[in-house]
Amino acid sequence: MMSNLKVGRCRYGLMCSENGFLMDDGVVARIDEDTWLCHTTSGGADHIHQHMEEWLQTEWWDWKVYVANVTEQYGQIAVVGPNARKVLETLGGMDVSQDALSFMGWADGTLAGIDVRIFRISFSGELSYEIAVKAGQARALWDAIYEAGQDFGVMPYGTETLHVLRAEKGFIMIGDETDGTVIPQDLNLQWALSKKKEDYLGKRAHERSFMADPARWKLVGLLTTDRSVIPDGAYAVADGVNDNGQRNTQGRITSSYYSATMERGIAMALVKDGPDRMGEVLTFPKTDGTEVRAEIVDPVFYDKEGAKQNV
Amino acid sequence: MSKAISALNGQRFEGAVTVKDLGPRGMITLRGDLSSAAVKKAATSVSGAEMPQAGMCTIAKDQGIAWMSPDELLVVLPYADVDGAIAKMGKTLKDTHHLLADVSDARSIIRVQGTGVRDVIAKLSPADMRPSSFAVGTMRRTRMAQVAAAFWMRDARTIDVICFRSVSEYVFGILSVAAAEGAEVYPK
Repeated sequence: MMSNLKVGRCRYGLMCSENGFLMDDGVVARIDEDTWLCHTTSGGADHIHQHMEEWLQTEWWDWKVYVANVTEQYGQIAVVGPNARKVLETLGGMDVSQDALSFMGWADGTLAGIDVRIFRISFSGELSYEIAVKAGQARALWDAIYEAGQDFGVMPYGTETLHVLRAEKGFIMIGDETDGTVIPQDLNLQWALSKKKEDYLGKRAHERSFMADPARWKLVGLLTTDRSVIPDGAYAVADGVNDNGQRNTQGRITSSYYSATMERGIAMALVKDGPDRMGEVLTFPKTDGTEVRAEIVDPVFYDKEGAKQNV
Repeated sequence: MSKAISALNGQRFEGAVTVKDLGPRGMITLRGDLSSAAVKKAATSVSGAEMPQAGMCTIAKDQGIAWMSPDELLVVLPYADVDGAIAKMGKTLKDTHHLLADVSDARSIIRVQGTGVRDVIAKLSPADMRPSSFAVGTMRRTRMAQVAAAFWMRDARTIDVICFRSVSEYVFGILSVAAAEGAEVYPK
């Protein structure tokens, strides 16, 4: 629910299609009494903007809500890691302490003389500041951060690193853990579905028998017994064969990486009765004819308490 | 703040038709009921221009108003005037349902100028560029090759194109190819 979000705060949210399938996720910030800023998946902004526009034009034309896609107006730079605060304090201009700007808050101010809006949101589970700046100022701010960060071991990172870091935290990624057939409940995200709302897009779909079926494959973590990286998309086999003579399956890999932090392969998967089978070992045949075995574990591999992002 | 520069940083291409980046330009999205007096006042008072008819724009020289949809206008003005204009428009619209957004950095504005200007645009866009369909003052939101773009006819030999910042190089490139010497539809 975003209506009760306070001005100055951010909240993680999900978006479902009318068929209940998970469409997108992101952090919403309440900018003022009448304005919410909705972050979408990278590259998903046009799609979500059109989705909102369609519902506003066809079904909820009397809501008095306008939407605008402002993605291209901003550059958004994530400054992430235990030293992130020190780097921003070196630049100076605004108070970025835990007291002034707490986890899941946002604030307007300046950094290195450049107008910024800082969101304290984290995609990797670390102390994280996402700094939005007018696109034409983004390079200047990037250069200032990079220079100030030299004393703290600053390093640019790309989306592959981001994928690995979020997987270590068990954070789902739209397009990896979702493929258009996955509902929030499959990913243990029931907590993000409002119980206060009378209705929302997807609610009725979630109540249909096959959506509420406890046999739907659910998200778990996997650790290979030989520490290797399981091929992405691999299936866990079950006993017996189907009518086509193929091995029965009981799960599939949705994300799989080598984790430098854990010094081993880690994976997330959707598995039948997965959360109830902690400690069981599944077998994943590979295309080279060999197999790899992996133990079902909690999908949060690192910093289970979430302490590192809230400091 | 660092000095404002546009994504294309003043690039210019001299072909049969000239293509040039116009640099930073103030652009404000205003959504509201276009028949409301407050919405009209907000748009006209900061731009000094008349309200446009549907499908048209009233951008004279480098500021004015473009019609974007039945409930959306684009107010164009100098880059440095945007913050003040948004504050003023917000006051005018205090009691009127509206949306105001600074989109100046979200877009590039590229001028295409020369006698063959209609043909340059016609090669890239599905818009009917005949003078009978696209007169001076016409505004069109459409596509250019693979991306979204919009343009308006400033005078008989000048069209200003706007596109999203992230596709600026692409749009400048296709305009330059279409405007190159030897690419004229009707060679001299």
